[in-house]
Amino acid sequence: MMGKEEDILSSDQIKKLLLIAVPALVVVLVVTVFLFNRHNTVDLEGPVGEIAANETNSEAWAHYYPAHWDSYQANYANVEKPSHFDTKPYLKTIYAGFGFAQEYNEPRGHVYTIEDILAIDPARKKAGASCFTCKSTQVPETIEKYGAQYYLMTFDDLKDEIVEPIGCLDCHDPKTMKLRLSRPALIDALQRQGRDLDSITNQEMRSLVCAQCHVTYYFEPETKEITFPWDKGIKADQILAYYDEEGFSEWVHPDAGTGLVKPRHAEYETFMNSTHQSAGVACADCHMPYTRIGNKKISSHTWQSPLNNIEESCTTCHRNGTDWLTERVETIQAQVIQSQDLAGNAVVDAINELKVSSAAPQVDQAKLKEAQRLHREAQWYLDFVAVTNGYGFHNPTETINNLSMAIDSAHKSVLLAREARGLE
Amino acid sequence: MSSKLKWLGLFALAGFAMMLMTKIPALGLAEAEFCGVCHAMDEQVSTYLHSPHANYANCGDCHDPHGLVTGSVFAAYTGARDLYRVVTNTIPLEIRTTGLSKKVIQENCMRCHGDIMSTIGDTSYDRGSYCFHCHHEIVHEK
Repeated sequence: MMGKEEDILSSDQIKKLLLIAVPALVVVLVVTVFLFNRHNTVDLEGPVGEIAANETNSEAWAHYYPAHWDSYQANYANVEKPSHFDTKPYLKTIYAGFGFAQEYNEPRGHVYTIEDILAIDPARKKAGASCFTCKSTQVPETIEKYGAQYYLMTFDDLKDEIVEPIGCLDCHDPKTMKLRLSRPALIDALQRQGRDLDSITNQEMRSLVCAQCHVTYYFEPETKEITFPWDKGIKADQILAYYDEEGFSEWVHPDAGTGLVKPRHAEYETFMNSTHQSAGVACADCHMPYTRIGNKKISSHTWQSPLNNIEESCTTCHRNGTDWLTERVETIQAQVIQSQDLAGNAVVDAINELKVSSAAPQVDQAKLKEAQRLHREAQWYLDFVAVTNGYGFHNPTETINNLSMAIDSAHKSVLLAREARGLE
Repeated sequence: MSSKLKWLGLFALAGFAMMLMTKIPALGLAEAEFCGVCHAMDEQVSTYLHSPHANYANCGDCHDPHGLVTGSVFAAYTGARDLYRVVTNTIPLEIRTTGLSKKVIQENCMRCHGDIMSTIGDTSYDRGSYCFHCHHEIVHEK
């Protein structure tokens, strides 16, 4: 029998059989592995349904992302608008002659941007339509509609047209939900830095979407276009050097006679190179922590101090207990406030001395000018800290360093102003 | 076919079959009792046994790919590597996850916790953070 079978299957037939059997076996193996592995893959939900490409009304997104919408709605709970002057009375003196001296309240956050800006003192609206740039999801399309003319329009020109507050479209692509940049000023600044916008990682985007607005900026004198003064770097000293080189001043202090520049909420610039940022943490990691909603987790869209939800924000990484963590933050902030008040009073001293010296009949003009330059520097460093949220927690060492610079320059300014009018 | 090739083929087949054996639960080759045989793993085993994960997952559930072929090949490789380190007394002073192992662990985090993470997605996507960058203390407390 055996011999007969060997006869039936000649070596040619064996070859043919192998030619069929081997590929068939391979196919079976591949299919088995595929089927075995298939039930292990994690099914992640993609975006549900279609949202129009330019949907500025955030409520239209709410249907697809109800949990996110709820956390966004929670922002309405923030109703206080405390005045900066109550906690930092010296600011009123240093802003003299500028719109900010009339009124300077803390805003109530993203959902109230339109309401809050309409209620603001008219002295603050002189910059015109540009003020809307960080207030509404409609701004990118408005800029597209009017072009460069947008920045030259008056506040009243656009106040009926722009009605939606900050919302989904400002940071998200409606099709993919991926983070995206919608504000020209940041895109331009990054391009001037030589950044390739397509190679930015998602983790960096979780800070950069915030940096579209939570940064300092200025209105380019001729075009009134909002511009980030980042070409020499993003730190306080580098930004001041940029303004000095441009010879840029926003206003002249009526008492001190000093040409001044005003920093605005420089949270991003301050946070960069901080301990947290160096460790790879993004704004959203603390301010939009992953929060359990039912059987899902979402990035919280209730923007607030991480101290309000320390369990989600801090204890994910720091296992030292909420009491210890709160005490650490409060200690850092109390120390910053103490130094900030010292710096604030020192700058006021400088202004008072400059006022007397400016009026003195035989003043040394060169020394007075140098004293004014020192005042400009001192006020810049103080203001950079004072108007940035977080009382220095975004970068404690750098904040204290900026305040030291402010105190030193203010003291030098006082001495020189006195010297200029003949006092030793 | 020469007999040498035959033997080589048989050897490869037997080797592969032995690799697959690492995935047979009854043998316990992915259990802490087995991994802890080497004293180098004492710290990892004791921290694991004290963690809630000990009730639901063994070493291999987190440290080996879940697939039959991928998992067994990976386990055979890491097992052989660790054995070599022990025999030659070249155990690292500090035992840390490396390269591919991080991806394997991340996959396994998402395999069990994918449901709750479905809205957020895989945090390691686009050079993001692995789950255990923040939740590093969960099992081995370091």
